[in-house]
Amino acid sequence: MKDKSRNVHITTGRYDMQGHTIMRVGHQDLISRLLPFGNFGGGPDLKRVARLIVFHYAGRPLLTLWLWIRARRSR
Amino acid sequence: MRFISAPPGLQPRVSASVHTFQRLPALIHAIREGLDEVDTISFDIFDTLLIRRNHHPDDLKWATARYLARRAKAAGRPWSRDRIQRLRNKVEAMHRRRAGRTHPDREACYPAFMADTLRIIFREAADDVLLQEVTDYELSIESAFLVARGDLLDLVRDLKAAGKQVLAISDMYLPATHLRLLLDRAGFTGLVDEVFSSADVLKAKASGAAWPRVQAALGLEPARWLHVGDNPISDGTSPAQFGIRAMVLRDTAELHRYTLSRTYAECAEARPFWRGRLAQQWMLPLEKENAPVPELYAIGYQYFGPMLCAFIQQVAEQALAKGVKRVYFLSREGEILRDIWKKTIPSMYAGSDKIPTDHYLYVSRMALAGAACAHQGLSYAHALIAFLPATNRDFRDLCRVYNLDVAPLRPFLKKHGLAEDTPMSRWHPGWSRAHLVRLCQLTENDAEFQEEVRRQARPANDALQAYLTSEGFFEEGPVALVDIGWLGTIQRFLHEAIRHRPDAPALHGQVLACSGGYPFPYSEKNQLNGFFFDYKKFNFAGSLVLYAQELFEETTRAHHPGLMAYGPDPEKGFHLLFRDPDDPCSINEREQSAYFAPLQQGIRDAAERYAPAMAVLGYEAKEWKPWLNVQTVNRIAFPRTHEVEILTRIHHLDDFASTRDKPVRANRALLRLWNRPLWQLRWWPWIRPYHYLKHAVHWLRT
Repeated sequence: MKDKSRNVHITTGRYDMQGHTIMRVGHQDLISRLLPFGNFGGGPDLKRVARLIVFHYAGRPLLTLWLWIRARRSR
Repeated sequence: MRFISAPPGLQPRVSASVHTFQRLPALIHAIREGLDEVDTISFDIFDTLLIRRNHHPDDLKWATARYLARRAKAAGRPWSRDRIQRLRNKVEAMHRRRAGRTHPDREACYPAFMADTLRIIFREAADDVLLQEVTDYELSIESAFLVARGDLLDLVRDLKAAGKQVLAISDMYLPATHLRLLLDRAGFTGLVDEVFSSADVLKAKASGAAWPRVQAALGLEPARWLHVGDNPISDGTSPAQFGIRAMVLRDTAELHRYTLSRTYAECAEARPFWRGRLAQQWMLPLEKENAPVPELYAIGYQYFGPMLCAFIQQVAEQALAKGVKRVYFLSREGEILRDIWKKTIPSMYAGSDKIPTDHYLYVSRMALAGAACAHQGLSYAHALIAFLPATNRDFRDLCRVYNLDVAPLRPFLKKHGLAEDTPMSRWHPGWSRAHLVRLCQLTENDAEFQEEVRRQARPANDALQAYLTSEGFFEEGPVALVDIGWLGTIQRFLHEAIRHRPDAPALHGQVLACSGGYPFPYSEKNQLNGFFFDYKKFNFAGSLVLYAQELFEETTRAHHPGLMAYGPDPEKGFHLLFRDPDDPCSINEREQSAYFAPLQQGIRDAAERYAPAMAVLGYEAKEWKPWLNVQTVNRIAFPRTHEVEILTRIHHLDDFASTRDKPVRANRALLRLWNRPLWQLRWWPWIRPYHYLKHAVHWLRT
């Protein structure tokens, strides 16, 4: 049996789950508006998905900027 | 590098620099650069040497509150976890106020305030042993949530190798002995010379009272001392005032991680959907734990692991609710499920005196099918089970499945107009409904046929009962049977084999998914429930696991060969007959097991992190379902081609199926997404929605 599995980091650099990132959740949430997918406990809520996408993908630069602004104000 | 100005009221006595860093590599570089100028390096512990998987340290106290609630319940004192948590906070606050009267800092000491808390809850039963047990539990949860910062661990090793004195100093309610334990468990064993905690003498870094104390204890020279921490005041301005060089790490990466954890916690509070995701965020490997792993391991860790852990949690919840004292995990999928039980349940339900004992039972459909006929004979419903696999065709297959000798049964077949090669499966040419009518007459009306079946099945049944007796099966009332799924045939046969006994226990079957593809004989003493999917309760997303049943079986199967039969033994009363290891099927299974070993390791490692996460969050198993449903839709109904490629293997052994090829008609009718060629998955864009809608129509109609 040929092993086609690659090596990956489970936690991505954006602190997301490798293979099931927030983008995949958001993508599925969009599809679920057309296809009935079943019981998702009220669903993820698009606003929350969008917020998490921003935090996962742009969180670090935004926080760096926030710390920089705070430091400048405290001088 | 920037200087952080002292807050109002804190005027520097001795000038010393404070440098702030936003990235750990920059901090480590700066420490290494200035090593010649210092003899002692002290580190803050929390958020510096050690980081937490969650964002708020107080969350962990809930695990202890739940633990104490269970202990109190066992001791006959009905204290809820909320009440205990409120009491603990109140007692801790009182200790802090009291300390504030005599010391510059409002510090508290865990052994002191926890002893007071326990005295209020348990009264005279609160002793040192109880305090030690509670402390051990709290430290085990703390440990599970703490991870050493890999680069700092390497740095500390280098510092020790360079002959520097390394200290750890923390403003924390845990005394130094407890902090030392946490550091050791995180990998700092032998690397830290001294640990100081504000809890011991109620002098903290924040007020600056800790520094003279440490200096006096070790005779340090502040000018040759460097302190590293994350708090601009406690670890920056405060040591700088004492003349200690200070470096402050305001790590944006960590801030990012904490922000995400906080956001997931807020989402989980508002929407059940995010609860499983929050738990998984806290289960993510960090720092050096997050080394590259095979993709199969990652899938086991992220999907199969949490799903099976939630299933086992549900088994425990049901067992506790129904007063079940013994849980039997059925081979072979039961081996990994039992491992999960051992890694999760004792820790999640610590303090409870009602946790059932776990046992492993060697069973298989092949071994039980024959033994099930010893008292009631071969019923028509059981006979039809033999023809569920499309490769089984005639009476010879039925005899193979039920371990019957066909020769003595030929006259009965002949009497009912049947032959041993008469097709009885609708997938095979020559099949007619009339054949099944005759089979029904044979099994329902022919007493001599049933007598012969019973005679042949009796030795296997006697051996089975001897085996079950040796496993304590009949000793403590109702038992839980845990298996992966799907029809409950193992439980059906087991129930049939023992139900004549007056001491036969009630069977509470728990399976991951209960497909209901074949009617199950429910009764008061024979119950079957599916966790992720149960056909009795509509859960469409859950039904998607039936897309790839073989996948769930193969990925959870134990490495030992399958059981073939229960044989009589003059001494023990039974012996277990396993499949020959040199059998081609066994060889294929071994190869398959070796392939899926990383995935199984991922499942086991996920269980290690599942228990503390759930002990803190306190979710019930069912609260995982929305998130597991999402993952199932994504990974099973809409998988990436590469996921199917690495998860689909060619060797699947159905022990009931014969070795003949599946008829073409059956192959076509039973074609599933996961059996499709990879090129179709890759290039046919509508293949997934097509199968999804086909599945939806099927389930909505049934």
